Amino acid sequence: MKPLFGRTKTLEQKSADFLDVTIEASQVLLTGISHYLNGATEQFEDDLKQITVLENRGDNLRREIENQLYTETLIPESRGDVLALLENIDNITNQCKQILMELSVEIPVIPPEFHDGYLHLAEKSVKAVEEVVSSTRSFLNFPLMIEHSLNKVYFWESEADRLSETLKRKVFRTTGLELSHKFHLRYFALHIELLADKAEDVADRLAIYSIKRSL
Amino acid sequence: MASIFDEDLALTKICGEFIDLTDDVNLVFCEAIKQYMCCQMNEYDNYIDQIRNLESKGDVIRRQTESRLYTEKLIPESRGDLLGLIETTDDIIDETKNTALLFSVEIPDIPLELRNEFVSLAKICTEAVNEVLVAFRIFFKSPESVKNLIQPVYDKEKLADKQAAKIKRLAFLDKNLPLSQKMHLRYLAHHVDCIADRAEDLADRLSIAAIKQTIKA
Repeated sequence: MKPLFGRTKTLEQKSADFLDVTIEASQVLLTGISHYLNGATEQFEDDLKQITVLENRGDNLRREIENQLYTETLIPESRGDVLALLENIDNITNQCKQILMELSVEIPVIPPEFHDGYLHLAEKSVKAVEEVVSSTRSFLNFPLMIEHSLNKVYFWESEADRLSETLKRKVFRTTGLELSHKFHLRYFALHIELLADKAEDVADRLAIYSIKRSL
Repeated sequence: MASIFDEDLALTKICGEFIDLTDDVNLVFCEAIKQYMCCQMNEYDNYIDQIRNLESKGDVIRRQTESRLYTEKLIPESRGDLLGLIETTDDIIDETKNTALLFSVEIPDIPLELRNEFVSLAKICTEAVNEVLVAFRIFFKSPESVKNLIQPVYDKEKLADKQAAKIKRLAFLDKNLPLSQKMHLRYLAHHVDCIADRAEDLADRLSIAAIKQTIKA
């Protein structure tokens, strides 16, 4: 099976850049959460600035790719699928930024006994993102490899679900915390878990698009 | 009128299994809520395990059906509609599982006077889901009958909204409850009510898909 963009090299490069931005955003998210938990406020605010720049860059690249696909009438048969795919991947970068922004705005007090729980949850969600980006690269360049990496996305998403549930159970069973504080902690676990859900959304689309391409 | 699946009995069977499974999740959820409100936590946890297993099975069936729809080039003109119906049905399962898990994870303290109200809300939502599943089954055999079958879904969804509002009102009027507990009760009522919203989403899709099938015929 041929690469999706064939000889349109600029489009291929822009798509690769767009996926790199998604990966970078997920790495900055991990560092940002770690800085926040360690009370490294200045570094955390730098992470937030960096992720905001990445999010804007991702938006610009997505729009450039979309414009090029339409104005140059490229891959008309798969254009709709590629557009929906890009928008869903963009949601991942947006979610990464949203999590850091919410931490910065709401400055939740996270008791030390939950730090590992949040870090591990973020790591699993980021693994789901890494795998779905790898699946997308396969879809664009070498579709035969896609099934193997899609399976990994589903695995990390269910791991993130499991860790989030464990963390929330621990929070709600901790005595001495106000109920409102428990809600706040639940909210952040939920939003980090949502990152893996967004990776799963992309994986579901890729599964269908890759079947369509193989026909 | 002919079914859109006339030429593919295997696919009809898989879709039927998926509807059966959604029905099971729906029934188990209602029983689970009754047990929670009676503080029967062991029973409740058993139901949660059942819902988890059913949900995983549902995901497998959904993905198999989606892939089958494309790989075997089945009913191409109705493929998009059917995919949408399956995904929206899966949303009902997900919403039900997540709501059941909320009670298990957050072990909310429900005041005695609100327990029956929560059971009533769960029953209404279960009825909404049941009605839409009946319509979904009939859609395969007789799409022209769907229109009459989905009205009860909308009626139950409105009733669920009313019941959820009643619970929230009662919670916020209770002078003895702290604000955080009122918010917790509101959150739970909202999530149970969302199950009826997902049933309504499926009814909306069914209604359009049925009209398209009727026009084609």
